[in-house]
Amino acid sequence: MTVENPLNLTEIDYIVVECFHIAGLVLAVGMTAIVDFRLLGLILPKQSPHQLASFTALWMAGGLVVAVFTGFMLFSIDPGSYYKNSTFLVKMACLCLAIVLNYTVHIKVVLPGATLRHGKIVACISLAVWTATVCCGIFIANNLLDIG
Amino acid sequence: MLLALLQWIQNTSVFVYLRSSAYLYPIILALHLSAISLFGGMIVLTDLCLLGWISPAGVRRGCDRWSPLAEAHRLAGRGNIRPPSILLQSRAVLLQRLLPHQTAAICIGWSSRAGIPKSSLQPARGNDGGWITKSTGAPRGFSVSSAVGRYPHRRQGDRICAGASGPSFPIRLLRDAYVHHTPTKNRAPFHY
Repeated sequence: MTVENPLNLTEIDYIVVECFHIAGLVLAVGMTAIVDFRLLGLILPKQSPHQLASFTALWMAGGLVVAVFTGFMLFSIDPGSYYKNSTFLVKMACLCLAIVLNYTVHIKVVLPGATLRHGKIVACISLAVWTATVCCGIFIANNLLDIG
Repeated sequence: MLLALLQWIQNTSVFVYLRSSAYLYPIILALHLSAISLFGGMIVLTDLCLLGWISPAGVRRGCDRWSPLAEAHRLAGRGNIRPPSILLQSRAVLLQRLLPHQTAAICIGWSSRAGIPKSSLQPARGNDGGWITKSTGAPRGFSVSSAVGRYPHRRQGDRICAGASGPSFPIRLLRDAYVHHTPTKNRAPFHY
């Protein structure tokens, strides 16, 4: 017995889920970017990176959960097509790298005793990886990074 | 007139090329979304501070991380502590007296967190409105303007301070119900 994916039935459902996906991603990336910009010394000089990371940790995690959950829902519409899309695979790689980076190295460099130079390097990498994730999300439709 | 202008813009060679390009349009769209993601976060942070959903007070106290459990613990009224939102704590304190079970007070306090208006950003002054008790004062040293760089017209050091116009409507309703339906000898005194 086959079960039809509800997202395939109506177009509006897909758009709504995609809106939540983008909103979750914006929340996660935005909150991480605040800490990264602070590590680079560009914004909020009165707040320490550790304080800002404490502010944003929960919201970043919440946005990430929403983005990943809705991402799975979008993926479930046409898994075969996504699997063959090399841009999607690059996006997944960037996303995994960004998450691992965020919860390992990024946490260490925002601690009060961390080196400033290391913090700036990690912030640049983090911004680049998150931006690449967002860009690849856009490129999936066109499969711009079609390596094969 | 406007339509003609828009059509002229659309037919400009640059935008024709942009529209027909397989690469340029997605790249610009990706940059657009990246910019929204990166800088939208700051706007979100500002708004979360205004809503009281981010706990600057907790960070000021040196907490490693804002945690819902710690928040619930504070709302339960353990000692003279400062929650992130004045309105939140003041309601929770009142609800503690009104409701027999602390959990209910916590739930209602949580659900009322969004009710912090922008007008609540006022210079710190004496809590003479009869609503905010000494224990529910503004988080020490917290300044929305300094924290997020918004509202530059407000001087540094202005603190989040609840409006002194008294409790909101549902709280007034609960208080009035309590006052009217409780015998005077059993009534707990209100200290707001």
